[in-house]
Amino acid sequence: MDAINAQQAWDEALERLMLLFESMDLGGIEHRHRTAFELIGHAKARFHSDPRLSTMEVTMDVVGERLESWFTQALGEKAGRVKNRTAAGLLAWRVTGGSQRWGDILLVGEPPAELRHVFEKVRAQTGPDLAFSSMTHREMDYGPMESIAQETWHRFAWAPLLKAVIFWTFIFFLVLAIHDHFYLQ
Amino acid sequence: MRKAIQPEQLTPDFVGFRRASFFGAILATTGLGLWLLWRSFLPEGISALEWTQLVLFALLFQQIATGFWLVAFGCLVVLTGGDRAEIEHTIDEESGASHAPTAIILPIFNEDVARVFRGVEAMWEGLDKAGGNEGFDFFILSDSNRPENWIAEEIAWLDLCRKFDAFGRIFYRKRRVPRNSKSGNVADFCRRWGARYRYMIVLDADSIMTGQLLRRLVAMMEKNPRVGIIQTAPQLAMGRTLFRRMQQFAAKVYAPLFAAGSNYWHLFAGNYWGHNAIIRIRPFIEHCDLPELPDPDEKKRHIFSHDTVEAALMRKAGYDVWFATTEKGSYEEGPPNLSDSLGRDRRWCLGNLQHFWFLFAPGIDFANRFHIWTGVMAYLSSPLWLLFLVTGVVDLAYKNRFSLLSSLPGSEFSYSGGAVQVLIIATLALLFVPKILALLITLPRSRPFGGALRLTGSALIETLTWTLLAPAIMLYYTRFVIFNLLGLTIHWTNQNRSDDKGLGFFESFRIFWLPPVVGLFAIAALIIWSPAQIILLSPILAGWLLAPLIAWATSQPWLGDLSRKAGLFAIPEENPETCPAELHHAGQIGSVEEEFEGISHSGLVRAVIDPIAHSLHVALLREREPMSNKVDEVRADTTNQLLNEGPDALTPAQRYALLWDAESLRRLHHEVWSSPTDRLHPWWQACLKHL
Repeated sequence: MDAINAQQAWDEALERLMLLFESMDLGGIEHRHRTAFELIGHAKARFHSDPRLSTMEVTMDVVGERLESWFTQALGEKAGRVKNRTAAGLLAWRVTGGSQRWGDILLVGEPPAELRHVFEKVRAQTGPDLAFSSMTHREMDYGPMESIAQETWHRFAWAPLLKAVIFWTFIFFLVLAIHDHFYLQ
Repeated sequence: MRKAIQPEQLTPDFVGFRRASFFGAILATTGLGLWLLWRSFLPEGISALEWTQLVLFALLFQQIATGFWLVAFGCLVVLTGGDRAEIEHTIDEESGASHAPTAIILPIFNEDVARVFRGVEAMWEGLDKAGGNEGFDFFILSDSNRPENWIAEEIAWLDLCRKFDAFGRIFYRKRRVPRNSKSGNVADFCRRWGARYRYMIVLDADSIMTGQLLRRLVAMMEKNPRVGIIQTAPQLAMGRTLFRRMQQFAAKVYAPLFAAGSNYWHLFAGNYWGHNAIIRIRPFIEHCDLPELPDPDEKKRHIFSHDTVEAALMRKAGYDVWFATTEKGSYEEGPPNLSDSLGRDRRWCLGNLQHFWFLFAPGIDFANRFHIWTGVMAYLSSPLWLLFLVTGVVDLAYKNRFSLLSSLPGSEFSYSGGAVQVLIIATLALLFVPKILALLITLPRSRPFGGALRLTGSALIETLTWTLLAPAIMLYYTRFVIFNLLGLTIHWTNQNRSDDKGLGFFESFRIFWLPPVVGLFAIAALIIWSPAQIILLSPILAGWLLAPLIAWATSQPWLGDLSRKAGLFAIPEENPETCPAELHHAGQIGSVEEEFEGISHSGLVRAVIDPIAHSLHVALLREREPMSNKVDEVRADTTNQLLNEGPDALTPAQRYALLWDAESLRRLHHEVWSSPTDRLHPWWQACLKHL
């Protein structure tokens, strides 16, 4: 990677990092810039020691690790019981309105104790603890209609039905005409 | 106020007297109508076609008579100071302090997310103001299958819980396999959490109930342990288009009398409408799971419309079903235009016709059989009316009679002893007197309706509009019934519009082409074979010809706004001073935050890219068990395909399946954020730019 391309790649990584921070609603603009520069510095150091990954991948790995460790620190002794600590931490951050309250310490300072309590509360629940009940389909006796239907529709076919309807409609109107012709004069 | 009669004081004599009065009146009226028609046929002898008409007439006139007597008895109840036998009277005016565990459930399916959550918010606040929400938990039970709805619902849920610090009190559950639509959704809730609650209040996505009413319903259930369901009478509200404003006006003026009349005869054997009702969960779980319907291929056939059946099963199990007719504070929204209204009727028609099976099932209460019959006839009557109309016209043309109007003095009426005149007047009376009665009862308190003049004017315009629309609706209902009976699929473009945009002029003609075509054929046929009948049939013919125009006009929000400015179709809920806070809150305009507007597959994008939406979505998904290598390979391939070729390379089913897999989503999230821009598919690049 030549110098110009390298600079472009790190610029792009920085830009992506800023976008990520913005979409996470992490802190104020100044704090975001400061943290981003710091993280890019770490990423550069790691890239020089192991250049197999791209600059972008290294940067995102560094950010991912920092988020994970910061939220783990925020959780304290409960961290072991929480899966996906970053996801849980981001939700707690959003719920507490973290950016407004602790915007200047995210990822760099000591996590506030209050955040720990919120983790507990913000468990993304789909419902309270399950309490299963059995609610199963029951057989229903539909009475004579079902008997008639069951005895009939197994022999049901459209073509003969249609023929029969046409035939009897014709007969019906014929009878009607004859009846009215002879009796309604 | 007279002394209230408690449910346990209802003696068989008391119930028997009321039912005998109500059904006796219907039978007598139907008998009188039949006799008049029979007499009108007599002078010339009764032809075979006329026997057919007599049978059809008996079925149809019974239906009109039922409507009339419901209002007549309702009127009697209102004029005598209210019904003493109402479930509302079992508790005091200020009751509602119970903390019995109650779940308020909202089954939703691709609804307007902002509106749904505004409703929950309004009810939560309403409960707070009415004395606290202790004992109440909310469940948003989603079956939405549009990814954009699904993700938006999750975000809206998080924000709502955050706003009220209601984690653990407001829950959001998305069903992985949405079996058996709404009833399956409710049953799934009952199986998982039903045992934790004593009652559930079932709402629709557009329902609003005041905190006071929610608490009173629980108090009524607590006071009456024999009651299984209490159905409230939801008022239509928050309409903007002319169609909705007319409907909500009509419901406000006429529905209370229908409701009072209904309660008069069925008392503890009421019906359930599927929403805005409270249910005792234990008997519901034990007795109300829906049976399968008989099927020629012995496949499992699900009951489409569950509510009426559930009421019948609850009654069969020995529990009461009451209709709280006078309770205030229960609301819902109606369809914004005729097209959407018919789209809904298409589904209801299938559901109601399926109930036919229960008409003859052993063990079903008589009252429930009558509810089922009324529901079946609501749609079946349309083809019967059409048949009655056609046979009548053919009969008259065949006998070469003079039209009724052209033969007014002298000929036909004279030799039928005036029976036809009396019959026509009686039919019109049965149709319109209920409206007049309701209007007269409302007139003394016409102020919230814009005053006596505007109230009367609104009623006249509403009646005229529905008179003209009725023939077109009859045609569509006929089509629905025939298609459903033949097992054919009815294609109906459900516009699913909000109130803000009406039907386009030409679009209306494209949707409602059938009535004018039928109208033109009918006119041509009448000109050839029986021109004298054109005048008699002119209201029906005009309705058919004008249907697209009326559908277009009534769908327009600007006409709704205009009518509101003119003070027409006003209801008390439109007045900020008399509108309940919950309704006012839910009616406020707002929309969900749309981060990826203009990008296709915005739901998928949010679940993958947006860190908060992604975190929440993944957190709400159940971690999947380790699957076979084959399954893992397929998922990895799908994920790679989405990354490298964009979402259009996948089928909708593949995209939807991906959203259920937390592991794939985590990988996608990581890959998209970690890939250099030039390695990303252009669609992902565009998504990042939109962030």
